[in-house]
Amino acid sequence: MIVLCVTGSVAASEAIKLAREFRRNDVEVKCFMSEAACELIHPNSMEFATGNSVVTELTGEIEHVKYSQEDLILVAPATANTISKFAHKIADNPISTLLITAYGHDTPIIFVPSMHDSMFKAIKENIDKIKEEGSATFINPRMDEGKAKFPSKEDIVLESLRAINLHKKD
Amino acid sequence: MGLELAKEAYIRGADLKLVVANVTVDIPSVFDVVYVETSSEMNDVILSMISEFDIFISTAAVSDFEFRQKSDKKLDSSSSLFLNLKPTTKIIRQIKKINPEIFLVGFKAEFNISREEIIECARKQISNAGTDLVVANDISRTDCHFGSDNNEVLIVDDEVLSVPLASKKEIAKTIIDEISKKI
Repeated sequence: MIVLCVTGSVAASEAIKLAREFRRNDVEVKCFMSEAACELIHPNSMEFATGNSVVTELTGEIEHVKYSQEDLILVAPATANTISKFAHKIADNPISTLLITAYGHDTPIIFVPSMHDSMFKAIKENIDKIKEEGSATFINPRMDEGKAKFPSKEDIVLESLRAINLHKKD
Repeated sequence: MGLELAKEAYIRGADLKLVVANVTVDIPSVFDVVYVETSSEMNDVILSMISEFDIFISTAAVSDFEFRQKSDKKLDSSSSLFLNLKPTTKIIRQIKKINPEIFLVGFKAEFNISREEIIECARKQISNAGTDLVVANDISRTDCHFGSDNNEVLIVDDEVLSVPLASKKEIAKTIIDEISKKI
């Protein structure tokens, strides 16, 4: 099973089709959504796409621990806020808390950054920090019409399944 | 079939390079691709890089003939025209000469022949090119022609493994399983 964390980028709507693409590849998906993501798409859409209930808050079930050792944590789309918090291991919402728990368990983490170019430049230092410590990997945006766009579903699925297999071999 | 094999190998963690000519499928951007146009270009590109690789999978249906002469002008259409063709270099036969250690996987597409004849053709390729494994099929069948989503193949080396009609994705999994077992 993979955990798909959806954060507040306008690309959040892409997560619905992405979840379906994983299921077409026989991968079960559990979704976490940030508050900002819930302003963009309704959790019901992700519940439908994944066939599983969506985590929007942490409860007595300690969801951040329960799902921290799945095959992969995929943050798509990943905002500047979520990436920067992870770079400094801040845990102040369900997704950032899940991320540091997963990191502590050595679960693979992939970010698909989705933000305006200027924001991407502004958090470059945080991205470099994550890359240097090897705590997570990144799937770069697809360049089209001179703009950075959300990568194709197929590329994300290929990179995700590869990351899972490479991690198992280690 | 080539793209499905590339995807499956990539998912399993292989570092790979694709040499791509005229294909009808979209190549995902995660792949490292070298685009070529002609069979001789493909030959040159492959031979220049083949010593760096552990496995070579030859799925391309390379043209058997090429023009002896090429014109850089539009041909006059007022008289009849004879095309002079010459056989192309068989890429697959060059591979082991340059890199004898490589695991070589060939494909053999035949048209409307029996299972025994297909196996014989595959074994002929093994002796001619030093192929370690041949994936053979009959493209006259309506459900497994070039460009179809499904395929039914024989995987031939000393033994013969029949892979019944399945999606190209499923077949790719079986082929990569067989390669993994043998390297």
